[in-house]
This record gives sequence, C-alpha cells and structure tokens, in this order.
Amino acid sequence: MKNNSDIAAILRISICFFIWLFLLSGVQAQRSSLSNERLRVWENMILKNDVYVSAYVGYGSYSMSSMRKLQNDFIVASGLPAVANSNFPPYWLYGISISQKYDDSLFGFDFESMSTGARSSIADYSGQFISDFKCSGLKLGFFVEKDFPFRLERIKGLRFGCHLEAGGLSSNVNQQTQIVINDLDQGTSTRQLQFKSVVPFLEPTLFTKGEINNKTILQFSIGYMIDIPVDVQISYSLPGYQVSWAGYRIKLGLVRQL
Amino acid sequence: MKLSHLIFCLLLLSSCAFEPAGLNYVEVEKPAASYPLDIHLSLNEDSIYLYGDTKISFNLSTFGKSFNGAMIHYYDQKISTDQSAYSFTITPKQTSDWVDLTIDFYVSTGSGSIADKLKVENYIKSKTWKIKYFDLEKEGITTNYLIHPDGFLQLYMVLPKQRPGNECGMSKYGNDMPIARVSGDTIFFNDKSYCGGEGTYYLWYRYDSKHVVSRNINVNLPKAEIKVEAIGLDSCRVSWTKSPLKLYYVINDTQYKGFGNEYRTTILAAESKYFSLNVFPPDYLNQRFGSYSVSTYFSLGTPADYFMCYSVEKDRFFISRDATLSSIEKATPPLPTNEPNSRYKSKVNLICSPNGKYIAGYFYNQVYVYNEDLTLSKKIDGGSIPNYRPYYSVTNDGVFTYQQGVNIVMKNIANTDWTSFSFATDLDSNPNKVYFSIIANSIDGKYICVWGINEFRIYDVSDHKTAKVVYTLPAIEIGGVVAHPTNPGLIYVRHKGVMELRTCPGFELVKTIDIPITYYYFHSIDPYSNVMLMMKDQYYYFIDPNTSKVLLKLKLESLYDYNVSLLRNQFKTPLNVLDLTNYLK
Repeated sequence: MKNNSDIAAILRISICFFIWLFLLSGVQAQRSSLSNERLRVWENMILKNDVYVSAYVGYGSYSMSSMRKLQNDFIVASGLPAVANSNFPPYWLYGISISQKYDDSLFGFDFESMSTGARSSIADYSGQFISDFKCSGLKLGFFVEKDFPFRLERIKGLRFGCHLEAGGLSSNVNQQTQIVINDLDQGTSTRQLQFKSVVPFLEPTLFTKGEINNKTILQFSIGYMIDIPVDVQISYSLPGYQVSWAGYRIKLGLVRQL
Repeated sequence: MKLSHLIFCLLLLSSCAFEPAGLNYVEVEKPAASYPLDIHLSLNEDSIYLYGDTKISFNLSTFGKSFNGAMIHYYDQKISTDQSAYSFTITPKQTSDWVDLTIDFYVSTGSGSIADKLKVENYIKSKTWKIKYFDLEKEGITTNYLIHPDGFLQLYMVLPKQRPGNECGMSKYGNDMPIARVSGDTIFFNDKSYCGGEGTYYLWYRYDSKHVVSRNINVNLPKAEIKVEAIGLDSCRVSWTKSPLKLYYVINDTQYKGFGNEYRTTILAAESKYFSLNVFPPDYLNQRFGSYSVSTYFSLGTPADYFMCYSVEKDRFFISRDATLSSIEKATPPLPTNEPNSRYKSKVNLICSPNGKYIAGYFYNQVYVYNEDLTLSKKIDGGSIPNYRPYYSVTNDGVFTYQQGVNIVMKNIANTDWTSFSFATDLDSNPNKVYFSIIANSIDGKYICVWGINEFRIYDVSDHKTAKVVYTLPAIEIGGVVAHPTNPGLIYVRHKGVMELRTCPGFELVKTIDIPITYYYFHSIDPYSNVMLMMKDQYYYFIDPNTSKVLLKLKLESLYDYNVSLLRNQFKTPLNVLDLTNYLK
C-alpha cells in the first residue's frame, strides 16, 4: 500500500525528470531563444488542446535478482528442501497515460502497475511449507514521445516512433511463509514480511501505431526499463536486498484523442 | 470504444496481479510409533528429597536419534534445553506437599519429514518425579536410641534420604563419642557408661560446607529403685527394678556383685539394716562414669519408734506419737507406723494400768498424766529416773511407781487424797549392777516385790504411806520375778532355778512351769496371750507356759537389748513392732 510519503517521493522524482526532459526539448528548439520558445510551448499546449489518453496492457520481464537470492535465503533458513514453484517470472502489466501534443511530440504522464512473484514449497504427510513472494510495482513517469519522420512503403498506415519515459517507481513486496503441521492442534503458522522501496527509472521504448479511426490509435511498443534499485525497507533498511524491475517490456495499447 | 469501457477493462486487468501457486509434494515414510529412550538422572529415585538448592543432572540416551530438546517443569518453573545431558538447580519452596518434577524429552524421529525437520515431530518421553523440601532443622533426620543386645545404650541417627553429606557426630555433655557402626544410612553411637537417669546427647549432621543441623536425644531410663521385703522373721529379700540395660550391681560393696536384681540376706528382729546398691554401667570394668548408688534402711514388721502401752481389760493399745505430748492415741492391731520424720520428735514413754483407766508417761523428769479421753491431764514432777533399764508401772489403783536409785517412788495420778509416797529398799543404787525384773507391782497396787541385793521382799504398800515387809527370802533363791499381768494375787517367780507361779503376798506355790531352756532371763509375760518372753544369750524366746514349748526364737541385735515388750502378740522394739500372732499359736 502506498502512503503519502511514497506518493510525494514519486511526484518529486517525476517533476525532476519532467524538468530534465523539458530542458532537453529546449535543446531541440534552439533555433530561437530559450525563453521565448518555452512561452510558445505553453501557449500551444493550452490553446491547441490536443490531449490523448492511453490505456495499455503489457508483458514484462523483471530482473528481481536480489529477490531471487532472498527467496533462496528463506529456503535455506527454513532448513527444508523446498523447491521453487515460481521464481519471479515475467508477468502482465497495465497502465494508463495522458499526454498533450505539441509540435509533433507528445508530452505526458504515465501510470503503470506491474506484478510478479515467487513460491517455494514442499509438502509431505506431516505438513507443508510455503514461502510466497508477491511483488507489485507502481510507477509514475513523465514521457515524451515523437514519431519518426518516415513511413514504410508497404504499410503506409503505420507510423513508428520512440518514447522515453522517466519517473519514480514504488515497489511493495509481501513475503509470507506458511507452515502447516498436521496432527497438531494449532499446527498452522504464518509469518508475513513487507518490503518497500522507491527508486527512479528510465524506460526507452520503440513503438509503432496505426489509426483505427480518426480518434483512436492502436499502439504496440517494445522497450527496456532501467531502474536504480536501493535496499528495501522493512522498518529498517535491509542491506543487500533490492527490488529491481529492470527488464524488457512489450505493450499494446489504445490511444484516444479527447 | 467509450472511455468507460476503457476504464472497466483496466480495472479488470488490474485485478489480475501475480498470484504464486503450486505445491511440491514429496513422499516420506512415516516413522515408527515409538522408539526406546533411556534416561539417567543424577538422583536415581522416584522421590527426590530437597534440603536446599539441589543440582540435578540428566542424561538421555537417544540411541542414534538426534535430541531436539527437553522441557523441565517444577513448581511454576519451566526450563528448556536442547542438550541431552544437562544440569539444573532447583531452589526448593517450603511447601509441605510433594510436587511434581516433570521432564519432557523430545527426540527427533529422523523421518526427514517437514515436521521432523522443524523439530515438531518427536518421540516424546515424559518422566515425572516427586520432589519435596525438607527443612533439616525440623524434619528429615530421625534420631532415637535403643538397647543393644549386649545391654548398653545405643543411639542412632538415620541420615536424610539421598543425603547430600556424610559428616556427623555425637557428644554428651561436651565429650565427643566416636561412631560405633554405620549401617546403610544409619549411624550408631554407643554409650557404655550410661546407667540410667536423665542424659542428653547432642547429635549433629553437616549436610554441606555451611550448614550443620543437630538433634538432642533425651534419654531417661528409670534408675534402679531398691526394695526390701521381709521373708519370715529372720531374713529379707533385697530387689531392685530391672533395667533394660545390662548393669552391674553391687550391694554394700561386697555382699552382692552381679547382674541380677535380687539378693537375700538375714536380718534381726530389731535391726534397722542399711542397704546400699551401687549401679555400674555394662562396661563397668572400664567405665566408672555414670555409676550411681541408691540406699535404704529396712527393718522387719512395722516401723514404730513411738512408745506404747496396752490395757488388757480394754484390749487396747495407747501410743504416743504426738510431738507436743498433749495427747495420745488409741490403737488396735495392726498397729500404726511412724509418723513422717518422727525419728527426732519428742515421744513420751507410755505406761498404763491393766484396767486402762490410768495412763501416764515419763519424759525428762516429768510424769505426764492423760485422761481416759487421751488428752493430757497434768504433769507431775517425777524427779530423775535412770534411763537405763528404767522401771515404772501404773497399777489399777492409779499409782505411778518407779525406781529412783535405791528408792521406790509412788506417785498418785488418780484424783485421790494422797500425792506421793516413797521408801528405801536394799536395791543397788547403781541400776547397772542389779538384775532385770527387780521390781514387780501387783496389778492392784497393793504389793511391790523387790529383788534386792540381799533379799527378795514383798512390801505391802496398800495404805500409800508405809511399806511393810510382808515376805522375805534370801536373794540367792530368786532368779527373777514378774507380777501376773491379770491376777493381782499371783506372781511368776524363778525360785531356786524353777519357774513357779505363786501367790502374792503369801508366796504359796500354785504351780511350777517347765521352761525348756536354762540360764535364761525372764523378761515379761504377754497379758493377752500369757506367752512368756525370755532372753538367753542373743535370742528372745517366746514360750507357752501351758505347754512349755518354745513358740518362737528371735535373735537379738545386742546382748542387752532389754527395751522390748510383748503385748497382745505384738513384739515391740524401740525400732519396730512385729505382729507375732501367727507365730505364737
């Protein structure tokens, strides 16, 4: 669960990257003075009102190398020969974004939810042992998107472009260990841990899109997300264990012009 | 697509967060239901006695299985350990009840199952002991004593069960006594010097380096009590209470020595015999400490150091036991014993008339006259009466007659018109030189027979004014004279060596009496039974004048023991009185 401090941290990181991207866009428009150009951008954003909303579903691979180690440590600590049933596999992701078109580029905010996890278990006549990791990530990023100035001859309806997004990523890991011993009056023991971390990320993406109608666009993208993981927190810092969502992303979404 | 559709799709998708699934089941063989386990406790008892902080160790043999742990419960304490060999210390509570000490042992089944690896699948062996705190100051140590078969006192101390220490000892009045024997948990001490009576023994026991507890054993076996019983009239049996100890007894240093409790010896009729019993311990040859002695005096018959007289007409005794001399008592057989502590009290030497009307006593130159109601009537100055073989009598006419040197003095104790009368005789002035029975009053008081130096005379004193000689004989012909105790007209006289009964004052022969002994001294005649009391050598002879038989013969304590009387078969000595009724038949 997010709390206020998490949201504030995400916003802070997002604003920083927004400023950075805005300045980057200023470098591209260096034909005039910097200050005048910025004023013209704001005027166009407000006056032209080309606003798009997008919803997408995707599939991502997640590094989670540190979590894999943590999972293994849990198994070792339990002393049981538990075997992994799942080990932070690639899994679905979902997101929405809102953007404003300016000068053939889109600037916008993106909100995306990711999840993955792991399970190690063993069971016999005497009981069972299950160690679950449930990882969820919420990212809030500012992106800039620009179409490439070319089209394929054979599929003239498709356009290609690139998308660069940066922002903050909040991770929440729920670890639950459950031991069930048969033939005991109170033979079930459950222990839960929750780790959290907030890190910056950068996600460059290539996409292609085609119009469905004059208001709706179908967009497919492939990218790779890079994050800078930090030690997770319980009530204190847990050194050596980070949640890294780095990995490839494939997304398919619908974009609608409002 | 409408925006609402888009949002719906997003919410639907967002509910599909990653959920871990799957379970890896492995087949593991179940373990056997039970497994042998062997427990060794440092105190291999079902009941554990605590005397203080107690360290207890256990060792569990698992026979190849791994030991998972043990849980120890006692009082409200719980101790867990994962060591199969472990020690713990119980600090006991002062409860009066036995409480449980329970140890639950958990041993891995070794099945390799999840529960086994998590150490919750165990062979469980639970064992319970009873524990109880004993305050050695109050309990836990038994002490007592017994009599050893060899007859000495043996004290023992049963050490506390599961005793933590062994050092102990015993002392008596500060003297240490060595341990005699150890049998199991019982320590024995011998006291071969104990003979009886109160004894306190201090036994101590050290149960650790700091604490010593002790017990006192008070032994109070009764000391010997000496008892003397008459056996007939010439011997007695000295016995003493039998002690459970085998004691060594000595009577009067030499008369008896041994381990018995009875001794027989001779005793004279008028003898007060002293018996001293020395009691020595069983080990009397080496141990003299603790010996003691008890003693007693014994005489035959009834102790009677009082004076008494007898009225044959009233068949009544009068005795003087009142130290104030203000009254006398009457008595009939059996005669009373001494008053307590009467030995040094004043007693008047009583004499009464045969008719019992007149009773008088002599005490330090005073004649005490008593009424018939036994109260003191008056005291009359009697002058000096020799206290050696004194003669005095009271006749039926109320005259107190006594010898005062060569004179015979007559005091009127009846309330008649004369008071006193005396006359001189040819009696030797030194009474030690004259024979006994020199004077005899006829019981009516009319005549007095005097056996003097030169003559035997009968005086007529009936007028209480003059003494007229009415009959004489040469003194050599007479060997003794005694007035008949009931007939005023008769006297017994030893005339020319023959006992005769003659008239008085006519001196006519009534009959001769055959006396079976010779060279005797004629002492007196019992007015009740007429038994004649004779003395010869060192014996009293009791002779029946009718049959001339010696009914009884008693040995005298001394050659000149004249101060006796035979009245109504009661043989009175200055010390005692013997009822001879059964012997004088």
